[in-house]
Amino acid sequence: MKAAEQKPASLEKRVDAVLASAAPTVHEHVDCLTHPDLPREVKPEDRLALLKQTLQQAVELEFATIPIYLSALWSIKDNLHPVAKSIRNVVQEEMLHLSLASNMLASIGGRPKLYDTSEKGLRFPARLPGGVHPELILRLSGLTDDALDDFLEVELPLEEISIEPYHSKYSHAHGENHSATIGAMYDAIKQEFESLRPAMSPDNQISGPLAWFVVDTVEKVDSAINWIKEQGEGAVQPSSDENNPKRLSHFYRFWEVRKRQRIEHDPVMDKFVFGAPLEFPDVWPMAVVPEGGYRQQDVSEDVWALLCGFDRTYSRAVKLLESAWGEGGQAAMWKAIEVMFDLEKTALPLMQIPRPDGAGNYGPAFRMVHA
Amino acid sequence: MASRGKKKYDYIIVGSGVAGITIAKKLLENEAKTTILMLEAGPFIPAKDRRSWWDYVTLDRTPYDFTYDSGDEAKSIGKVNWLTNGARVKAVGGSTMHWGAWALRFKPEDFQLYTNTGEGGDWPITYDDLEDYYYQAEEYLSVCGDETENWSPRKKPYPVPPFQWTAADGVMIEAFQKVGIKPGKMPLARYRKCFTTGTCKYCPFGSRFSAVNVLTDLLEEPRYSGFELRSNAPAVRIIAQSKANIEAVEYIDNKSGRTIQEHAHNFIICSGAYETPKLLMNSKNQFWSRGIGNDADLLGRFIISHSMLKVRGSTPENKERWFQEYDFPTLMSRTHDSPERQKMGKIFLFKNRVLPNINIAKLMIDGKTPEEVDKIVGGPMQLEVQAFMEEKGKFDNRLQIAAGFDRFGLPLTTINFNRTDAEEANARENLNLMTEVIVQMGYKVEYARTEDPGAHHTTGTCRMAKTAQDGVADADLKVHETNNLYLCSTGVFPSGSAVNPTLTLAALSIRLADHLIGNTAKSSLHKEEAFA
Amino acid sequence: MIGGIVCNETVDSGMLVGDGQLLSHADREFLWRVFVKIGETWRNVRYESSNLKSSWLEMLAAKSGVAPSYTAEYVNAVRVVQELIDMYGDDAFRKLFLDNHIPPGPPVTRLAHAKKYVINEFIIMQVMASGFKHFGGKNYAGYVKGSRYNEVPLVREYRPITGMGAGEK
Repeated sequence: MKAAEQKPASLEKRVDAVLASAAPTVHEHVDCLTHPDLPREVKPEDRLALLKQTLQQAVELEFATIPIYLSALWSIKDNLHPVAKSIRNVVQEEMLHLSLASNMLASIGGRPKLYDTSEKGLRFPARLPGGVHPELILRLSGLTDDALDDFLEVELPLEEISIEPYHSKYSHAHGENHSATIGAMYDAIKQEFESLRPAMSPDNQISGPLAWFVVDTVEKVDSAINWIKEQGEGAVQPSSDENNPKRLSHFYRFWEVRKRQRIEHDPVMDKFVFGAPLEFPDVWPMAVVPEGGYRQQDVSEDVWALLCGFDRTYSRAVKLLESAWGEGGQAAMWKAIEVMFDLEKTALPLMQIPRPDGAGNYGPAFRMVHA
Repeated sequence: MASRGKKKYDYIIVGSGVAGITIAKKLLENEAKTTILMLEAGPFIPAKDRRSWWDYVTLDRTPYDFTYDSGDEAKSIGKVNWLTNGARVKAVGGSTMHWGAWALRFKPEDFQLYTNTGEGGDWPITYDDLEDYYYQAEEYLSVCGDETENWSPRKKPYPVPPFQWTAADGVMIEAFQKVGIKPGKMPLARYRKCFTTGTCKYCPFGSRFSAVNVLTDLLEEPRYSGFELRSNAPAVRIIAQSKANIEAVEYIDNKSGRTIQEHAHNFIICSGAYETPKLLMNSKNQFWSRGIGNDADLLGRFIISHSMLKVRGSTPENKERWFQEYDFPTLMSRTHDSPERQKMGKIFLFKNRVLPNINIAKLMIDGKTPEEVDKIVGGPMQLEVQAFMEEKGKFDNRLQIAAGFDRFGLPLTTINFNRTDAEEANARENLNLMTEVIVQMGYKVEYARTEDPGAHHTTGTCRMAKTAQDGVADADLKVHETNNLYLCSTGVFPSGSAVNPTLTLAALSIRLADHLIGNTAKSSLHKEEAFA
Repeated sequence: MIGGIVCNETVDSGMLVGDGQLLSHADREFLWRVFVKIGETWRNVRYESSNLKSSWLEMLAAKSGVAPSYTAEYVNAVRVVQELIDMYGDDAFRKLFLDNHIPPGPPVTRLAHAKKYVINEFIIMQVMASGFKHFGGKNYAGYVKGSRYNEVPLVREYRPITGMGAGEK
C-alpha cells in the first residue's frame, strides 16, 4: 500500500472526475492520458471515454479560432491580396484539422459536437476552450495589428522560434506556453491510440478537399497529428517543390503580416529571415464586436437584417457540418461548405457599414440561433 | 373563367428565366414591398439535389431533361434543319439551369449590323449605352475573365480572375499564334465557391450562375412579401384595355385546368425568344388584329441562332494522357469576331471542352484489362476547334405558332429557316481558316463541317427598333404604341453577334429594371407635384 | 454467361422495385467489399479505397433512399456476387469485371442486372472519385477537386515553353 501522496485521489478517481466534469481542462486530459499507470489502473472503457473527451476538446479548440480568422479575412477588401490568400489558407487548414480531429473521434465511435447553445457554448469574446492560455481573449474584429498579436498567441509554435526573438504581450504561467499544452494534447492523443489500440472504423468519417483522409489505423492517427502540428504550430519548412510556396505554419504566416515582411530563405546564411516588404492590405475597419453581439434596439433595420441573416446562415452551416459526422454524412459536408460560402453575402455588406458611434464598422457576431 | 379578386399587382412578369428573375430582384431591392406576380409555364425542379446529381454522374441524366421540346413540338419546316430539341429548359429558372455560362459581351459593331453590312438590323441603342450595365451583369453573374483582354471595350476589369488554360490547350494555343489568332481565356460565370467538379450542367454547389438559385433567395426573403411565383401556369393571352394600355394576363393553372386572369399596372414578358412573340401573336383583339405589337407583322421574324462550325483533328498518341478536367472550354479567341469580318461572317472560336476525352469508366465497364485501359488512354487522341458564326436575320426566316399544345400548355411552334448561297460559302471559308489551325497543330483533319443551328441562342423574333415599322419594342424595351407592356428576352435582339447572348440579356434586364424604377420615381414625383 | 442458378435466373429488364425496402448494414458492407475489388482489379487506387467510403455511402443512401430506389438491385447484387464467390473463389471478381459473357442488350438475368445497375455505377463512381488519377490528371468530371482559391492548381495547367518561338518544341 502506498503512502499518502500529494495528489489526493487515485488515478481511476481522477479520470472519473475528469469524465464527469462540466469543464475539463486540456491540462487534466493530458495529465491523465500520459500518466504511466493509466494502462494498469484504469479500465479500457474509461480510457476510451477519456480519449473521446480529449478529442472532443481538440475539435472545440480547432473550431474556436475559425470565426476570428474569418472576420479578419473578410475585412480584407481585395480577396486576392497575398495576405488574404495566406489567411484563407490558415482557415482551410483549421478546417482540415477540425475534420481530422472529428474523424479520429468518429473512428472510435464518438460524434463531434461543434456547437452548444447553452451557456457553455462558444460566444465571443471568448477564451480558448479547455482552459488553454486563460489570459488570451479571442475577439471578432477586422484585420489589425492587435488582432494579429492575438493570432500569434493562439498559434505560438512548440519549437523554438527560429527567425528572431518574439516578444509576446502575455506572460506564460509556469514558464510554459499554451502551445505546449495543445501540442502535448495531440501527443497525448497519439500516445493513447498507440497504447490502447481501440477498434477503429472508417464509417461516419468524412474525406474530401477539407478532410484529406479517413483515419482508421493508428498509423493514420500519427499522420493526422503530424499534419496538424506541423501546419498549426510547426517551424518554417523549406519546400523542395518549386510549384508550392514555402510551407509556413500559421504562426509564421501571421508574423509575416505583423512584421510587414516576407519570410525568405537566405542561401548564404542557410536560414530563414525577414526579407522583402509585404504590404498590409486595405481593409474595412471592422470594429470589435461587443459581447453578446449587437442588440436590435441599437442598430438600423438594414443592419439588423444583415446580422440576423448572417447568424441564421452560420447556424445552418455549423449544424450541417456537425451532421456530416452523424446522420448527414458526406452530403451534409458538401452542403455545409456551400452554406459557408454564403456567409460572405451578409458578412461583407456588414463590414462596409460604419457604426454611428464612430468606433468602426459593423461585423458578424457568429451567434448560434434557431434557423 | 376565374379571377382571383380585384388585386392589381405592380408588375406581372411572364417567365421565370434569368431575365424575369433579374428584373424582379432589382425591383425588390429598390422597394421591398413591390408586388410582383411571376408566372412560369413549367414546373419547379430542385437544384443541388443529391440524388439528381448522382443520377447525372452515373447515368448522364438531368432532372430537367423531360422539359425539353421533343418530337415535333417545335418543328423545322425550312430548308435548313433548325434544332429546338434540347435547347430550352421549360422550368422555373429557365435555361440557365443547363447553360454552360460562357458570358461574353457583344462588341460595338454588333449594335450597327445593318448600317455596317446592309443586312440584319440595327439596335436602337449603342454599346456605350449598355457598357455600365454589362459591368453590373458581370458582377451579378460573377464572370471570371482576363483583365488584360479587351475584346470589347471596358472601363473596369472583370470582377473575378479567369480560369487558366489547361495543359491540353497548349498545342492549339501555339497553332492559333502561328495563324495570327490571338488566344484568349473564356469568360465564365462562376461564383467563388466553384469546386471544379466538372458537373456544370447540374452544379452540386450552385457555383455556376443559375437563375433558380437567385429566385429561391428572393422567395425566402421575408421582406419581399409581395413577391409571388406561380409555376405550372402557362400564360395564354395578354388582355388589352385599349391599344396602349394592357390590363391583364390570362393563364391556365395546369393542375386544376382553370383559366385565370390577373391584373397589374405593368407587364413584362420574359418568356424567351420563342414564347414571347408567340404570346403576343396569340393576343389578338379589336385594337391589335394581328396580335399585340404585330401591326407590322414582325413577330417571329428575323429568327437566328448560332450554328456550330467544327473541325476535328486526330493524332496517334496521347503521351501526356490528357483528358477532360473542366466542364467548360478555357481557350477561345475573338480575333475574327471583328468589324472587318462582320459582312462576311464573324466567328467566335473556342476549343471543344470535352476533347480529348477518354471515358475511362466505360472502358472498365466494357471489361478492358488495366493494361488495355492504359494503352487506350495513351493512344490515339482527338481535339476539335469550334466556332459560332454570326447569322443575319431575314424577313422570311420566321417562327410561327402551330396548332396544338405541348405538355406545359404552350402552343406548338414551327421554324422556317434558310440560308443564302453566299452564307454557305462564307461558312466554308471560315471552316478553311479553322482547318488551318488543325493543320498547324500537326494533326490529321478528320472532318470540317457546319452543324445545323441549335436554338440555344435564338434571337430576333420580337426585335427592338426605333420605330414600330422596323421592330416590336423600342429602345426601352417597351412594345411600340403601348404604355405598359415590356419585353425582355433574347427575342428583342436585332442582331445575334458571334457570341452567346445571356450576358447581354442580363445587362438589358438590369437596364430595364432601372428604367422601371425611374418611371416609378417620376410618377411618384408627379403625384407629389400634383398635390403641391 | 458465368454463374449458376441465381445469376442466370431471368428477370424483367426494368429496374427491380426497391421502394420501401431497407438496405441492411450487412448488405452494405458486402457491397463495399465489392467496390474495393474494383480498385484492386484495375490497380487504380490512390492511397486506398477507405477514403472513398464516405462518398460511396452517400451515393448508396441517395440511390436507395429516394425513389426509384435501388435497394432491390443492391440486394440482388449481393446474392449474385455471393454465388460467384461460392463458385469461383478468388477468380470471381476477375470474371465478373473482365470476363462475364453477359450478352449485350437490356439486362434480363440477375447477373446482368447486377452488372448494369450496381457494378457499372460503382465503377463510374470509383473512377470519378479517385481512380482517374492513376491514369494521369488532377481533375475529372464528378471529382470535387477543391476551391480555385487554393494555392495548388486544380487541373494540369498550360505552361508555355519559355525561350523558344511559338510552336517550337
